[in-house]
Amino acid sequence: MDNLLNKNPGTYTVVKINTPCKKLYELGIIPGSKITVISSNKRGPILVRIGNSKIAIGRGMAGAILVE
Amino acid sequence: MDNIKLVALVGQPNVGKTTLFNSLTGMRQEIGNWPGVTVEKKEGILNYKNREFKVIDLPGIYSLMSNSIDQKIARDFILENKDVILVDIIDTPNINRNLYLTLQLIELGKSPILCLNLIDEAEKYGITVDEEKLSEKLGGLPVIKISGRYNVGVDNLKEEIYKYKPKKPCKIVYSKLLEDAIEKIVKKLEEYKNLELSEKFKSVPKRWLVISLLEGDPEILEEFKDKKEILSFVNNVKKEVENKIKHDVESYIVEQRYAKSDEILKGIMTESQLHEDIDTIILHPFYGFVIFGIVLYLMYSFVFDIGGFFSNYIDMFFGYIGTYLTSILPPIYSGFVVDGALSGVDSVLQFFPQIALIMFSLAILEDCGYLSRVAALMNGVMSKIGLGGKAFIPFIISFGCNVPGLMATRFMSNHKERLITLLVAPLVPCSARFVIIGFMAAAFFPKYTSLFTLGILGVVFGLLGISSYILSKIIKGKGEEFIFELPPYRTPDWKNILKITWERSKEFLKKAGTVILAGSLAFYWLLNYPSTDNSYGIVIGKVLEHITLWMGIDWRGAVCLMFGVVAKELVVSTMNIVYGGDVSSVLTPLKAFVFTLVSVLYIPCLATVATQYLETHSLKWTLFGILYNISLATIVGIVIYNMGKLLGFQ
Repeated sequence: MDNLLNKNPGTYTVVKINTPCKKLYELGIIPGSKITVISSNKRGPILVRIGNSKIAIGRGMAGAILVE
Repeated sequence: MDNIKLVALVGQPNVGKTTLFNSLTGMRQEIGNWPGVTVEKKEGILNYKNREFKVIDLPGIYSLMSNSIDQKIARDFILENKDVILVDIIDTPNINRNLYLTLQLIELGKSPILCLNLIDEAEKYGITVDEEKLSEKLGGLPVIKISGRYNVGVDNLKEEIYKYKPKKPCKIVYSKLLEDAIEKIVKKLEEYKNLELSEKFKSVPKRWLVISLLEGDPEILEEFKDKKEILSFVNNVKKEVENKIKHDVESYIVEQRYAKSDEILKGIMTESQLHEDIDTIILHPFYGFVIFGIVLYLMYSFVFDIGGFFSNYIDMFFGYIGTYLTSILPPIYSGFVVDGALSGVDSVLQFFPQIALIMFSLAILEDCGYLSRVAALMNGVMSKIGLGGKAFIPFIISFGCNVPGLMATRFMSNHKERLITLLVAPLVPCSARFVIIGFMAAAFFPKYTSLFTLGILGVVFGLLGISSYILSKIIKGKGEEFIFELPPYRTPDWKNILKITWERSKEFLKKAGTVILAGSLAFYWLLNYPSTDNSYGIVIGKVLEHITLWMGIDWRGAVCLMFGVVAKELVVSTMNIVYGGDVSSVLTPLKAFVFTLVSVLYIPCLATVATQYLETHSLKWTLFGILYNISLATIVGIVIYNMGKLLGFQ
């Protein structure tokens, strides 16, 4: 289990979300959902895909999403 | 026609709502703001089979929870207009996430017409949905496949709206655990004969109230704040559930709703994934900025080169009319008409080509999906001054001219950030202010022009950052959390783009035009009556001197600044007149620096103020904008002048 910031591109399953932000839920990022990291660099947002939508997540928020 | 029926379009962001709205209403639209906020409200009329419907485009929302201003606006509208015909627009490639909102509408006791939009895109990628079975599973709600862009199915939608009859919504059943919890609380609520709820919540289903309580909906919690007994009952039930599921109920309900969407779609949909990964480059921390730089450069030259070309002709045209009118009108009137009204109208119309072109370019960038990438790219930089990535674009445009810069805030979705941008973007030095900077640099610091310019810019941007940061702390409301959807790249819908361009630029003509006209006449009067040598303007200049002397500016400088309110370029030409042509011998270098700084900072020009009013729809914020600019300029002027004197400059 690790947060999204430390993951290379690839598909993971969300395990836990450590932020009260409702927007994640609204975009379909909930425990159990599949999440695909498209690109992640040392700076700037993390790009992920959930279902058929592409989402940009700030680094702070990405750090709160635990996946495996 | 009395008794016009209301139709509201509801749906998540980027589902093609606006395009569909345009196909339903044609050109008959009205754009305003929702009361009290800078969120755009669009209304139009749909005519079908001799019946009129008023169509309202609600803000794009992900859910019905009241935790964002857009969601609250949409929800309040739905709650307050009980007879409204809801058209729920669904992005078919993302149908499972979109059904989340549909389920919430059903829970609220509504029976929306479902539109499976972007069906062209979905079918291209091999995604199919059986609309009849979907309708069956949702208790017989009408479901229509549609493509707003290619005008597929729009007539079917009109027909459905025409023959719409509200249905009793079906019940969305969740897991036994959740259902038991809901039922317990519903029973508890039913013990009360009168819950004394606000008007808009009086007729909502109890079940919806309970689910909202469990979800921790801010507005509903506020509603029940005095009903301690109910709240503690809800909390106990919540704890019971949480003990069993080992995490919070809020996310449990969300999970349940998604599970329900998946369950509904099971067997009636073939899924497929869209792939296109150009964004790894577009959002790359290095290449992304390079690409953005190129895009900006192209846009900038397009807008200001082509716009400038037209502006010249407009100016020439007004010049001819002015000369002609001067020759035929008696001198008493010609001053007012030519130098007051006509030159005022001219100064507005000169902005018009740039505004139309900027709206056009931004509409293209937004429509093809690039604008949301820019927001993602610039977010890191802008968050340091309390704004989101989208605010970057108005700032950049403001360098050319503040007026289209402010208009560009229309592309920002967060109303708090939009308001802050509207208040601070006028600090960005526009081309007219660069005229002042350039003139003063050449006159006083011929050897150090770039250093002088950089000094001025440094102070200005420092102040801009600080004011924006402070405003972001003062103004209520939430900033945008940095997580958002990047819509798929699409080929621009030209019809929609031309429409947006026209809508956004014509309002400028209409409203800013009237304010400018009045302002120009007033200034003309002030500066020419009773006589040019002894006008009210000079009197005011001498009064202002009491303050401006603190920053080393005498009444003549004050008069220049007053002219600058009409248009900043006028500061330079007025200086030449009041100082008798030889500025460099009258002012000291320090005074020149302070004077330049003050003229860049104080009240933006009349056109900008008018636009500020037009965009905020609030006299209060416009006045605030003017006052804080003036105080900022005054304080900074006084501080720098006196610091300079202490340091031994003249």
